[in-house]
Amino acid sequence: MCLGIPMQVSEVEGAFAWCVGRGRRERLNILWLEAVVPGDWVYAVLGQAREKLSPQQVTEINLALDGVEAALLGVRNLNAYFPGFMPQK
Amino acid sequence: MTTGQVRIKLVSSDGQISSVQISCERPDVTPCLRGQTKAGVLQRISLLYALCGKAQLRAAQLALAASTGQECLPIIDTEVQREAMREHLWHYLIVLPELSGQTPQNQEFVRAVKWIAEGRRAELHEWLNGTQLALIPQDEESSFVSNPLPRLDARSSRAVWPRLTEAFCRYPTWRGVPAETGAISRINTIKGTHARFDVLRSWASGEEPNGGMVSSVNVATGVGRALVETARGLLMHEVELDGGRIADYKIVAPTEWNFHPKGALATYLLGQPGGDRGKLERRIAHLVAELDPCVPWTLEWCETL
Repeated sequence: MCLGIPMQVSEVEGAFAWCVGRGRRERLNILWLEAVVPGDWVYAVLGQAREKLSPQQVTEINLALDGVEAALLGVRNLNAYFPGFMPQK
Repeated sequence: MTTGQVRIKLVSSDGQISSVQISCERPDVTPCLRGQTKAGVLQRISLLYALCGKAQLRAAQLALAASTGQECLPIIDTEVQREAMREHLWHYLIVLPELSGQTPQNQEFVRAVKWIAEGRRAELHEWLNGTQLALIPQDEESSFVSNPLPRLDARSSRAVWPRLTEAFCRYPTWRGVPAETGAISRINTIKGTHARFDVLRSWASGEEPNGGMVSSVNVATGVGRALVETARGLLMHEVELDGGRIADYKIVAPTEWNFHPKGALATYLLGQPGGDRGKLERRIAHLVAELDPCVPWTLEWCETL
């Protein structure tokens, strides 16, 4: 639970922004953030943009989410989804 | 669905809700954590948790330390507490007004959330004393009764639950009975909506309400458990180390407590009048907001369950 997904802002409408990520398009509340502009990447959860993300964070989190999905499908070696960290035994 | 969801399914017959099914579907992240080193698991947890990120990371750090005997007596963690207060503020200023058809207090939220982040209690206190959020209408027939989970720290939890099991993680109970945690557990009626305001006011006036309390304990050789009070309620992590790597990792989140298939919400819904679906759906939206899942939720009307 509490998993968020990276989404990219395409349009800002006051306290909300249309964002796209992982095959979804959603209207997120952006009150938690300051100075949101199209092109920004945000961490989306429960209809809210909670944090801005750097491009590296976007890559890392998307990979991590892919890893969670792969694990659900029974993939055992998840190293490829968490690069830069100590590999599993 | 990667992010998980709470599903509420209802069957209405003869004008009454005759069947209720509540399920918490959340992706199991444990396979991503097993086999990791301590550093690796902390990095993965910090990647995966968007909500209550500080609470989740702190729980992981404390559980790992406790697994080798470094225990933490109950203490307020300032960052975790502020994270909880910001959640309460969001709920109070944005969620509650929207639920009752009022205007969300956007500007007030943007201003006050900064005060909380910076620990500026006095400013929040002054503002709370002056503001007046219109009361959510009290429904005369409200009969929602929660079984509040008592305050626990890691040591007292060990006396009750020597080890966490997979079954317990999915369907936690207190003395064998489902219980609720978080804001709604403090009040026994739908008036629980104002528990948020009370918690904020308590913190603003210099008190230390429950949110932000952290503790940890060693439960067995190589096994550490941490308890963290978040805005949504009690979060528990239990980690088992073997040879310096994660052998197992168990997490019980507030959502599992509050959306137990036989919990207060399920009990309340069974037998409710099902004739006016719109009215019932609005009430459910209020209750779910107070039970505060950390995943999206859906409601389905079914012919049969």
